[in-house]
Order: sequence, then structure tokens, then C-alpha cells
Amino acid sequence: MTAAAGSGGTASTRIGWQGAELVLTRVFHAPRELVFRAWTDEEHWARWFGPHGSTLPFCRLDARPGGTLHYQHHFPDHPDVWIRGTYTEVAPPERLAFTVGFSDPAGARVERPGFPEEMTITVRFDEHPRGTLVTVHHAGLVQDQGEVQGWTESLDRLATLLAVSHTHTGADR
Amino acid sequence: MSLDPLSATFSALADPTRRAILARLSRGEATVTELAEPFDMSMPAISKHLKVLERAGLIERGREAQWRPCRLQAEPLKQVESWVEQYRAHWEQRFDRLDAYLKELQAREKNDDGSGR
Repeated sequence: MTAAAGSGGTASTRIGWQGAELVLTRVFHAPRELVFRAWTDEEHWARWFGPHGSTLPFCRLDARPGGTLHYQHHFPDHPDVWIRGTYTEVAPPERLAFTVGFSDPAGARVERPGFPEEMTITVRFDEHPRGTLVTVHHAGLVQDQGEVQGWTESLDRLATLLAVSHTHTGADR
Repeated sequence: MSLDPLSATFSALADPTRRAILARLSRGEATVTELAEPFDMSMPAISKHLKVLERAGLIERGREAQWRPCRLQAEPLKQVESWVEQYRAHWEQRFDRLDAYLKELQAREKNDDGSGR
């Protein structure tokens, strides 16, 4: 599916679940302050925040607690999406947290059936011998948080279920 | 409040008993009595769990009147998997781009430092 996009092959993203949150970590070969700025400075952010081939033609980040972020995500193969959110935590160069949800170009909230109304992304930046360890917690992917928070086991269990119950989907890539 | 199918799946999976039931069914179909065995639970309680799983499309129950064996349905699980995969793939790509961009930035900074080489 997502054929290894990174060059070099040493860069690897680790992924897992904690409760209902998607957790991703990766080491970047750059000083923490710079990595943090890449997340909070709109000029930097617009250069990378999106899947391959996408761009952010409009991007405003007011990275301080209570500040808003608002951007237009342009994709080559499907309609543009506008996102708006609020920074809930900005603690350079260690932590950053913000909400994101669909909006219109003016910044008003837009509901999209089948998608969560609002998600929270928390990013931790840790010193690492090779640079900076970035940990992203992506929460709110599932609507009914209340119930789902009861999860104590990881989704690995689900993978096991899938493996046993159905034709495999190409386990290793 | 009605949940979208994915949330209904997650919601159904949020309970350890229901996950255990699914795990049991992943080894083959079973009757309600068989499913109830490992749990210290009344039949109505088990039936309730089965109803939640059935509504989420995670299991299917035979039509034979009292026998009604339960079978695991993998489709919702596969949907969860591909949905998770989509978010994972997005982050992976963002990280790749960030990685490349940070390298570019640092190279630029080095050059701007003047002395350079």
C-alpha cells in the first residue's frame, strides 16, 4: 500500500496504540529547537505537514496557548480540505498540543459525516543521542471516547484477531 | 445518538468480554452456551454482549431456531484496520517530509554561517 516512501531506509516510524490514541514516534536528526520550530512556524509547517503531493496554500498558525491554527489542505486527487483548531499547549521546545477539525475557508466548523468532529494532537520533543525524538499522540479518532477509553489492551489484539480470522493482508511490508 | 459504523465497531470492541468472545470465535463458530462457559456471567448478560457484536456486524448468528451458532465477521475489523492504516500512512509521509525538510534547513543554515567550508 504505502510503499516505503522514505529514502535511506533508516528513518522508521514506530506506531502503536495507547487506549484509543494512535501513538507515533520517530527520531529526527536535528536539534530539538529546530524541530519544534518546524511544528510551530507557519512557513516551516506548510512545507511538510501533509501527505506526499499535498500542499498548504493557506496556513496561519498562532502557536500560543489559546491561539488558533487554520489551513487549507490541497490534494492533487481530491477536493481541498480546510482545517481549523486551537493550541492547548505550547511549551517550547518540549511539548505542543492542538486540536484540529474540519472548517470552511472562513474558519467556521464544518461537519463531515464519518469523520470525528475534533481530534487532539499532542507532540512531545525529547533530546535523543541522534537528534530529537518526536512522539505524536493522535486522539479523538473515534467518536465515542467515553466508552473507548476503557481499552486497556492494545490494538495488537485486533491484529491477532484479524490474522487468525481472515485471509492475511500482507503482514510485512 | 447513532454512531457511524467505525465508531460502532470501536464501541463494540471496547469491552474485554466482547473481545474475548471475538477471540474465541476467531477459532471457529460456537453456540451461546459454549461462549458463556469461560465467563462467570448469566446467559442474558452474554446475550446482551452478543447483540452488541451483532449490531456492529462483528458476528453473525445462524438462523436455526435454538441452535444459532455465532460466527465472526471480519469485514468491520478490516475496515478498522484500513482506517487506522490511512492515518498511519499520513503520519509516515508527514514524517518523511519533515525529515527531508529539516535536512534542507540545516544544510541552508550551515551555508549561511559564512565560514562554511
